[in-house]
Amino acid sequence: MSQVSVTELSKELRQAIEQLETSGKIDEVGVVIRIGDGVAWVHGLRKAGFSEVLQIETEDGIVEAFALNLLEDEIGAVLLGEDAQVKAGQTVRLKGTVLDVPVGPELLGRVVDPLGRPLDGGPAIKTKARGIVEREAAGVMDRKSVHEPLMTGIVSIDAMFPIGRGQRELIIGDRQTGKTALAIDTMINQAKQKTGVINVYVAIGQKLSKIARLVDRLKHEGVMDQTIVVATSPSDPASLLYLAPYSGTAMGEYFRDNKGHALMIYDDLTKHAVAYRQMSLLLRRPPGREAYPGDVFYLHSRLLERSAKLSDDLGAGSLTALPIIETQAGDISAYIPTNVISITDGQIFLETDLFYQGIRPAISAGLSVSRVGGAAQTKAVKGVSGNLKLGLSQFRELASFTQFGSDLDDATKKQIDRGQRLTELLKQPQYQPLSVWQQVASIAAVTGGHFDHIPAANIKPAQEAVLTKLWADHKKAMQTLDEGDKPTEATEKVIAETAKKVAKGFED
Amino acid sequence: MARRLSRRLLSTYVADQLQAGVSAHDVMLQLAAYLLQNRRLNEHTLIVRDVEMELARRGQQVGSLHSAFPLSDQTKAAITDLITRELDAKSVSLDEFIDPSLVGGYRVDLPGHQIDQTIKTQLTTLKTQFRKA
Repeated sequence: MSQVSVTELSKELRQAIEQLETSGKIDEVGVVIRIGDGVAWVHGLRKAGFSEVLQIETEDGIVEAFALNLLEDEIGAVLLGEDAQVKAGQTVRLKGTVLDVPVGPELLGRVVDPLGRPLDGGPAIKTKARGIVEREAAGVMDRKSVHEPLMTGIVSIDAMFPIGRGQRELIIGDRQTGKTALAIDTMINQAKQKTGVINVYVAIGQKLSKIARLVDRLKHEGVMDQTIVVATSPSDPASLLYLAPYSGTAMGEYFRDNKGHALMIYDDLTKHAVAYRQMSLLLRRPPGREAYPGDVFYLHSRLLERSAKLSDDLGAGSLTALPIIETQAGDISAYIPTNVISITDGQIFLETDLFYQGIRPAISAGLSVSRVGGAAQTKAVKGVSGNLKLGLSQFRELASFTQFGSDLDDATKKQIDRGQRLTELLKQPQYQPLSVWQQVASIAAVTGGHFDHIPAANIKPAQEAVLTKLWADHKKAMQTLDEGDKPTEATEKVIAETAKKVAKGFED
Repeated sequence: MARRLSRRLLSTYVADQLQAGVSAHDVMLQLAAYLLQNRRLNEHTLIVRDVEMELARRGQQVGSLHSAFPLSDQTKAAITDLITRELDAKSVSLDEFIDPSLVGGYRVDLPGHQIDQTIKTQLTTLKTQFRKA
């Protein structure tokens, strides 16, 4: 328990008393007429605005709610807490503000709920600023095209589907295919490469044990100092699950608007849509396809539109989004997946089959795409990863034919051999993101044909050996390469020679 | 089939009739018949509230005054003046109640409005503020 200072407590109490209204003010009030399933129906308050905060006076204190349904005769308000204390007949007041949350660097390293209240047992969070939860996205003139890379440290992503700062890249796949793992690795890489990017991880209806594990891992990797975790569990009211991504975005926007860079991870928007469906049905809004309300597209489009690369006039900050969507049996043509695919600037599709074949991360080269990241790819990686995606896609097509054991011509055989080596190279253990020079050297070793005589099973040890030798013998050149510029001829030569030398030790 | 009348329309009609001098008994009988026929009896308390609000909007404020101790005539006159001035009321009628659970101060409940100067509410506000911190 934190130490209690009597002086501070009395100061707080005096301030709180001073803040209390003492003038004879006439407030507009309403009354709760019905309550149930986290939704309160309020009579009166005709001046209430959409999304405005209402305060319900209960015997145990004030419970807040926000107005979502403004009807002719009554207001449908979603409670921001438990509904056990709220009863019909209780007085309701307008708070006079829309929902806002504490924002600022004080939140770094903390686990909070969607209203900014600490969940980690730490001290109360006192920030200098507050951010509006439902804020409008930046306009056209406030933006700049995406041009700076956001390195994930995952070779297959940085080489084939590069992500830029300010981009929205969807991570999509069935359950247990490594979607969250990709997001965590990306967060870890921001700390390892000291990019200065702030991570905001929004857990929507995730098991608390999973969140606890994630926080432990982030602490262990030293990432928590530059991370904010906004957590909601399946036992929280649907209103909190609905608010979580918007609150998290408000927290991320603080850094974007102050010339910083932030990375948002929404884990996952499928559960968010389900929470919104629950709220909408309880508010008696007409159900549409799969019982989702008509504005479920707008739910996600207005959220993801807030991710942006700001113009130089506004400080050139950025907010990158990695939303996660869970599919059922790989069906990406379901309602919510197609919505989010069309909103985002590309998607990374994770396949169950690849995952169980041991190809991890199980990224599908054919179905994944990055629509704007090409402009943001580091020259170094771009220089060596030219037709990596095409080669890998063709290999996976051809590989299915080889199962029949038919005779193949030399060119096809060569393509398959190279594909097998590439696949091995792109396998990457969890929590081990690679830096730019490591990625460039690894890809160059395989695409340059230096590993062509190494059996596929020896590719990973050979890669490690090359990287160790390069760092030991040519540290300065590798540090220069790590800055992201296109490798010089001399550097390319050094990598090629080292790869050739090392490869000899791993041949059959 | 007849269109379902909203509560707002019903309350406006009742207020119109009352202001036109039709007896309250006749108007309520008419309203009760309508609610019974349309199976909307469960809305009757809400409609009464709506009628109160509609009358208040037209300048007839009918409400209640709650206090922990009896208030002086001077205080009551000041409260009535405040309501007349702030809500542009033509007439104000307040029923008085003594409620020791308010601890101190007073509360005026009007249709759609409230003046709450009770110690009880201030303590509840403090409690909530400290719970948030």
